[in-house]
Amino acid sequence: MTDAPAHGVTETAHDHKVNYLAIFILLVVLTVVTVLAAFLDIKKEWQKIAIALAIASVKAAAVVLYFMHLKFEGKLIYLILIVPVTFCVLLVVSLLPDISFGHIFHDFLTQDLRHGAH
Amino acid sequence: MSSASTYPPDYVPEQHAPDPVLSHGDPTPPGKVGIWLFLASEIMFFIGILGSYIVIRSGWPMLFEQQGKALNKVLAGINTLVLIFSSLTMALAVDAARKGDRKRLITCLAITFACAATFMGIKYVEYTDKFHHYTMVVTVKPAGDEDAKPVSYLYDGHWDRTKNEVKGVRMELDKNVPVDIGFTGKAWIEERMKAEGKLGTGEKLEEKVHPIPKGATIVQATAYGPWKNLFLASYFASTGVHGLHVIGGMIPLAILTIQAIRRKIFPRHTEYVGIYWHFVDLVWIFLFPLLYLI
Repeated sequence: MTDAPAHGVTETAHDHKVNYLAIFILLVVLTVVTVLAAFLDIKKEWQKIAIALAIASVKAAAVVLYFMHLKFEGKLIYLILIVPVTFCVLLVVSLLPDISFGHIFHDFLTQDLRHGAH
Repeated sequence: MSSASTYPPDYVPEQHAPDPVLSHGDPTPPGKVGIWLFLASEIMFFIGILGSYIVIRSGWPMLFEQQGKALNKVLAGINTLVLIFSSLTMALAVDAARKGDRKRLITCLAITFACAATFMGIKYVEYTDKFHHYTMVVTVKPAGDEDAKPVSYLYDGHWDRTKNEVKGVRMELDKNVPVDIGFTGKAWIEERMKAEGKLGTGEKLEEKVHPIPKGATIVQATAYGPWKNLFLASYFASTGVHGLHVIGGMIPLAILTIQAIRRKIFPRHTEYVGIYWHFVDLVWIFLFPLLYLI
């Protein structure tokens, strides 16, 4: 009935004490910060996006590392995660032409509207 | 002594079966490898949806800035807090399951399940609100004058079909300027009225009840569904699949709660469900600012 010591290898991975309440409070504070940041009068769109994504990334890191216990996992889990993260970066990088050309076309369109069709 | 009686009554095979991986030197149990592999595919699934969001948004930033204002930030903010709180209770449930604290496990799992249900309830309110929110072009012929030209109005707001009135905003349309109702809305009407000098720069358009006059013709009408424009299409696609993941998480949460009530505790399964549940929270952490705030 008693837990055999052989199981100890698995169980030590869980024995790290995490203060879940502290992580929760951090997440709530960051949520409030990201809402407040949205009401700031920031003119440039990329700055708004950068601030929002930076805060979201900190929140995501807190959830993944402490709630999902990634900080205490072995190499195998990290190895599994490298694959999708690489694909994510590849996808976003391959979208860069769309993003940049999109802005160029957008400028052309608005210029046409401003000066009127000839 | 029969073979069945060698096991104590509260024996749960899942907790006591030897771990096949352990003897090979890797401390990660196979179930955990499985759930992380599943999440790896989930990450790629959501980045695909996010990729389409990136392309659509970069192609038309003005649309996102304007249409995002129609979403309910307060409800979404509450939903964010609800999901974060459910993540906390889930983490505590995993901890309770590991320690064998059955009462705390049941409480935490039940709260997590209730939070998930609350999230879906708020989502339902948000969605129905969008499906009753209409933009429409209405032409009215002035009464008593046969030769008068009809006047066109653009209505935007909650359409009560029985009373035939719109709670929202209204503006008179210039017939010479073409309007695509898919891309209009309250923010668009405000901008247009400011440009035409009908609204001061600092002023905001007040929402009122605008009845649709008798004999008026509704020329065009569209609800705020995914068909209205590309912003709402990406909004419904991303929040829709996220909502399905929340429902998908509620099923194992319910099973684990029932099993705990039946005095069966599954520490590892609870942990794996927890990892999945935190991932659902993680996706929302990105969706909330991307759709509602910026």
